Amino acid sequence: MNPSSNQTFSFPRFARLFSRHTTEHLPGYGMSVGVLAGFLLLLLGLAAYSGNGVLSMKGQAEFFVFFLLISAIIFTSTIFSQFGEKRQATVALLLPASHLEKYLVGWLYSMPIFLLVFTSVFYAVDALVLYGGAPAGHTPELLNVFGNADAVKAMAGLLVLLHAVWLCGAIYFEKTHFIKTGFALFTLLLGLSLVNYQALKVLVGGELRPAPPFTTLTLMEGGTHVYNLGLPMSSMQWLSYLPLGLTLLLWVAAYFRLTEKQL
Amino acid sequence: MVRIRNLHFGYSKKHPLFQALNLSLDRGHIYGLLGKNGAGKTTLLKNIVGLAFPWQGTCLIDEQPAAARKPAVLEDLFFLPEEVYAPALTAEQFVAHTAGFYPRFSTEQLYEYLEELEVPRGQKLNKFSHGQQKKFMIAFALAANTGLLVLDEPTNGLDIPSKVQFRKILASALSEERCMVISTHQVRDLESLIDTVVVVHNREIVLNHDIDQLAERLTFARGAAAEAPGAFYQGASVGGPVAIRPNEAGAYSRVDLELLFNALTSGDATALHTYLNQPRHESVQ
Repeated sequence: MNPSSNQTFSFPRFARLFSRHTTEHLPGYGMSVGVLAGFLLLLLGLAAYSGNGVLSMKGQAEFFVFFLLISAIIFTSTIFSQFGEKRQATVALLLPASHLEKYLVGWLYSMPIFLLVFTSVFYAVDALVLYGGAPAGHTPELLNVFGNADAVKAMAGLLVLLHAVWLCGAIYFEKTHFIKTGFALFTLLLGLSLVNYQALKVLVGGELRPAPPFTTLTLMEGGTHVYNLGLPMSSMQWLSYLPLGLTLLLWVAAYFRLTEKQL
Repeated sequence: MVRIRNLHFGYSKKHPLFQALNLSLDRGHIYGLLGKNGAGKTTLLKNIVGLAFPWQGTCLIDEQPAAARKPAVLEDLFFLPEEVYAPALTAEQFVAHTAGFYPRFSTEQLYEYLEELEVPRGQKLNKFSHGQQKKFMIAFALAANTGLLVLDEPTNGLDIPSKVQFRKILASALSEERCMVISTHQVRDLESLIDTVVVVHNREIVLNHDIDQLAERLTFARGAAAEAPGAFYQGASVGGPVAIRPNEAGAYSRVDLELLFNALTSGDATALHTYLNQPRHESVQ
């Protein structure tokens, strides 16, 4: 046996793996970018056309958020597809690189690289639509995605949480990852909300408004709202760390699921 | 090189495939793993290479657990499944991006093997026929020069000339540093190639012997000689009756793997089993 430098992470080995993944998947990724650009062009163009060549900042922001989230989860759900199909999985699992390196290639492509490519494509298409279709005398205003710090934070939190959920689904399921992950997520949320509601009814007693986990409790009487029972504002900020904690936990879970993958 | 101790494994708790299975495979040998369809040959190979994890017991490669799939172990291991995957890359692209993972990979050897197996170059691998894809991957697996080479049904999908070339190349690629394991249910494909035969049957290894050792201890009789009493197994072939008998005269007898396999997997093979597991000097009861 010829022991490699490090059994958990070696940069040259990781670079080799990254390069192999890129060569093998670049045509597919290139086509995906083309499809994304096409959809954006079609829908932004239609929106601008119906607004006489003008697209508001709010409208652009809504398109950006919607397409970012939907394309992020679709792309992430496919990122470990080579571990789902048996013939490919044999090669992928036995290629001489560590589990961490294999995981990181998927993580890098589905999060930072995706974000960079999506933002570039969005701006290119948005600029094309706005400047190309702007009526005479009108100066188009291009969206600044960093314009509102609070919105960016909330958006980033939601994006990483959804990424973590679909990354877990990408490695857990063997096929139709996107659908199965979505189904599992919504089933879990529904189940948790029901259990939470029943548990609160037992603990508090009386009439309550249905409450998903980690939300304010509303006491009712005869169908009317009586009293809100929530965390004080000083403690509420701790609750904002919950998605982040959950994200980290799910990213780690996806890694360990990869280490446990069997055929 | 490979040490399997007390392996328990299955796909369902109710129907375990292996129970307390033990097996050792060493460098310098070509092992032929034989078994009926569904006997668990592929599953055993998956346990050996770390694609399936034992319920209980250990599968070690050079004292490292195969299931950990550590890069140092994987660099010295190549597993060729029955159904190969060929990406949309040319042979040159595939080699450029994959060979670097195997420290002893030889590009010269690869192109020699590809030429011998008559695999065309320049085309994308996914455009090859199934047989061509398999031959390319066999050539790549051999050129990787890994200490452990595991081939699952490698001759399935190969035409007759390619099977001959395959046997020739494989025999030339064996060295004291390599351990090759080949599973098949086409016993004839492995004759004259393997030096040790391992038979999996009814959840256990029923045979793990050198071919030379088997030739010394058994006689594979045909015709009238096969009909004499005292045989461990008697059967019929196109050429007449066949039988396996103890080699009392000590004359060399070519091992008929198919007959041996049939003897071990059909009917009562206890006498043959007991005889083969006795030290040579003991007499047969």
